[in-house]
Amino acid sequence: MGDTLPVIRREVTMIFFFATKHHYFINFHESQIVIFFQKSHLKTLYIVLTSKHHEGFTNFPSPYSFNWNSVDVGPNRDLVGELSKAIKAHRGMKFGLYYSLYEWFNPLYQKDKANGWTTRDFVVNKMTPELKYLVETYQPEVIWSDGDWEPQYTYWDSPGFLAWLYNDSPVRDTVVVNDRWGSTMACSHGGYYTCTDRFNPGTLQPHKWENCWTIDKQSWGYRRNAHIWEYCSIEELIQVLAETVSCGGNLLLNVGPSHDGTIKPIFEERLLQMGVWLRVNGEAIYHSKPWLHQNDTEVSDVWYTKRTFEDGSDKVYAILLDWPATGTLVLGAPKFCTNTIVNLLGWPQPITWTASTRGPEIVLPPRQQVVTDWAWVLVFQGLCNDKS
Amino acid sequence: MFFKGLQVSLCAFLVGVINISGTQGSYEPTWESLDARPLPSWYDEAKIGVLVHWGLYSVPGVGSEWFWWALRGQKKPSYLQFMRDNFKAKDTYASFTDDLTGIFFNPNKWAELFEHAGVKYAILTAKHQDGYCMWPSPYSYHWNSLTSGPTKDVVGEFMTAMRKKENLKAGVFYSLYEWFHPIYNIDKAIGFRTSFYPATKSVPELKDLVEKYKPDIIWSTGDWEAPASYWNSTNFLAWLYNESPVAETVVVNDRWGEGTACEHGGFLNCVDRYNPRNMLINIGVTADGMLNPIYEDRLVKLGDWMKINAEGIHGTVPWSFQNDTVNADTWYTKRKEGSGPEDVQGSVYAIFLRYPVSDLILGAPEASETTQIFMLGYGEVTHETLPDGGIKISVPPMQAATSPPYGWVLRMTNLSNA
Repeated sequence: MGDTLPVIRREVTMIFFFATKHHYFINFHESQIVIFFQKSHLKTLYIVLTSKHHEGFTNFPSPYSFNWNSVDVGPNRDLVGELSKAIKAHRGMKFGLYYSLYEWFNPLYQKDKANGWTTRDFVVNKMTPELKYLVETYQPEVIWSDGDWEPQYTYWDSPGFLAWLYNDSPVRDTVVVNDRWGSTMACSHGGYYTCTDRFNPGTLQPHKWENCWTIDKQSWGYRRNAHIWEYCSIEELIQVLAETVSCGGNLLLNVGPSHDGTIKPIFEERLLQMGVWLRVNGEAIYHSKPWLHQNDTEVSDVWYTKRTFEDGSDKVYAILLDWPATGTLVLGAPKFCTNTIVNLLGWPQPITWTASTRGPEIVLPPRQQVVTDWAWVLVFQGLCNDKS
Repeated sequence: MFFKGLQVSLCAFLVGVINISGTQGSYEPTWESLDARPLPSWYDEAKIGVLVHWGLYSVPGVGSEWFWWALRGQKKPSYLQFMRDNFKAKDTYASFTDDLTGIFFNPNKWAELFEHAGVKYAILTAKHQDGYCMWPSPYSYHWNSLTSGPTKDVVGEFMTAMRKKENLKAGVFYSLYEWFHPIYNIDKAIGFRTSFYPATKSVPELKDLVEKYKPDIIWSTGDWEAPASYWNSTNFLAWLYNESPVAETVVVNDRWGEGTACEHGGFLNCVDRYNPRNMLINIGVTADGMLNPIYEDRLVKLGDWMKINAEGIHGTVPWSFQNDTVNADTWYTKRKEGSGPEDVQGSVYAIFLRYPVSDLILGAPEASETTQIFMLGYGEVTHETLPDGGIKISVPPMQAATSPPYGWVLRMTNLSNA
């Protein structure tokens, strides 16, 4: 192939962002949505669709984008509307929209840019009315703003829009937004922080954040010429999930549908594998908080989360990315009390642990009898340091 | 018949170097003579091949490779609707050539993947039942991949790429009949009492393929409507075995006319997805010439497994037991005398698909005083003979075994019932 790009015909740029802490599969056949929902057995999740990417093509019939939208050309369908309807038919699923503020080649934007942002014709005539139309028509509960980075927030009038969103919009009580609302805004203002693409700091963050990660290591949009070694393996994805959630983040997992609206089997398989893993181990992910330690002080690829239950009891979860060669494990972070109980998710009996010179030694059951693959979760109840 | 993942077998064949019909180069155009040709030994040793389906059916990419038959032959409403919904009114199956771009076609990459997977032969659909030739067949003017579609000699590039790999044999899949070929349908209309189509199309076209690309395998199909005498199969095979440039090495299957499947020819496929002795794994190619990542994934994983365990697969023969008498998820092979290093010759391999909780109990092997058992990718493991027969093998903790967790292989030397 070399580096030349092929001419791609009938291309419709669509990106579905998939969320885990909550994950889910979608395409434009509602029956399949139901099947995948049943298979994934997940309680809550959010799905974010690209309503408009940087080329300005809208996946909904925007009155501000005449003949440059998915109803007038391309699939002749309101992709945002159809997906929104399908998702809202299921309890517990949240619908969100990605929206690029800027457009590479929009003449109004280019004129404002040439004027050094002293004019705001693009914002007044295009972006603000379109974004409000999007909110009022589809009532998304996540607005994932992007393409904000060239001018300041004052050009975009982001505070004005967000004040409208939080005070007067139909989703004012439930909507969540990210942090891309003008140059220098990322990682410091807005709702949750996304900072940079594929942000995965590996340390506890003071503000709620999200790691927007791609299954395809090279692209957010679908690539016909991608090879298997350019996609994340399920082991890599679960590692990213563990690292993210342990540090207080959500994982938003990107999937790129092809121009004909299908999600290719490799993406399906990764999502189904996530579902299989989460069915056993989701307890350590959903509703969890960061613990005192993010990863272990002795075994660095063990990541921790914590949950507090209604009765006030706490559980600390240790996500093991490798099964120890000896079948036993000594961890540095948990402080054992005499009444500490250890369990392994997906394993029916408590796990035995014994005092050793190196600290409490956890004796894992035979690997071949454990139902989970790829990563394993130990549950600690009654740790001396669980309240920290 | 659909060919989406089929397994090929050898139901029966003659082993050895003695050619009972005479010396090399003097086969007669009779099944007695042709069936007596010894199967070139590389084929049984290879065990795993890959069959690549690529053609115009890759363009609609729905249904199966029998798309055109469903559309034009059976006139299925869903296919007619699919055409109306997605293509221009004047579009026909033949206009799919415009979209068979093959822009990403890179058979050198395929060869690397196949080599990694432990695959020993690769077969490409040179022509499927639609008649579209993936090479510039002079008998298929403007209905071939050089004058339309990818505008490439796909078969030629494929064969060249495979042959750069020392351990890869390359072959062609060729459908004798064509659903809608006018000459074939003339013969068919009068009950195959004339043979215009084999005389002017299929036989000269097969010879063109053989002479141009010297395939190691000819995987014939589409034979079943007419008898072998109509196809002139025995004469073609006699030419192939006596005079062709691949007379000594070529291997053919058993689809050479109504009633030949499982009876005559080289190796026997019998029915699609028939399962034993070689496995031919089918993969489909997209219109732009890519293997979808999910196919790559399966071949990469197969290769990762083979890297540890190939010793129990390549160059083996069936043992007296196929699967175990106690543990049905354990399957056996045996290394031929004269194949591999001396210390493993005659070894029996047990491939177990479920990792036991502690010990693996097998009913079929009888250990001798000198029996040793090695787990591939681990090392020696201990065993004891059970009072009621069979053996108990102490396998290590699962995480100590380096084989990917799809199956594990034990090499058992000096069994008393080897």
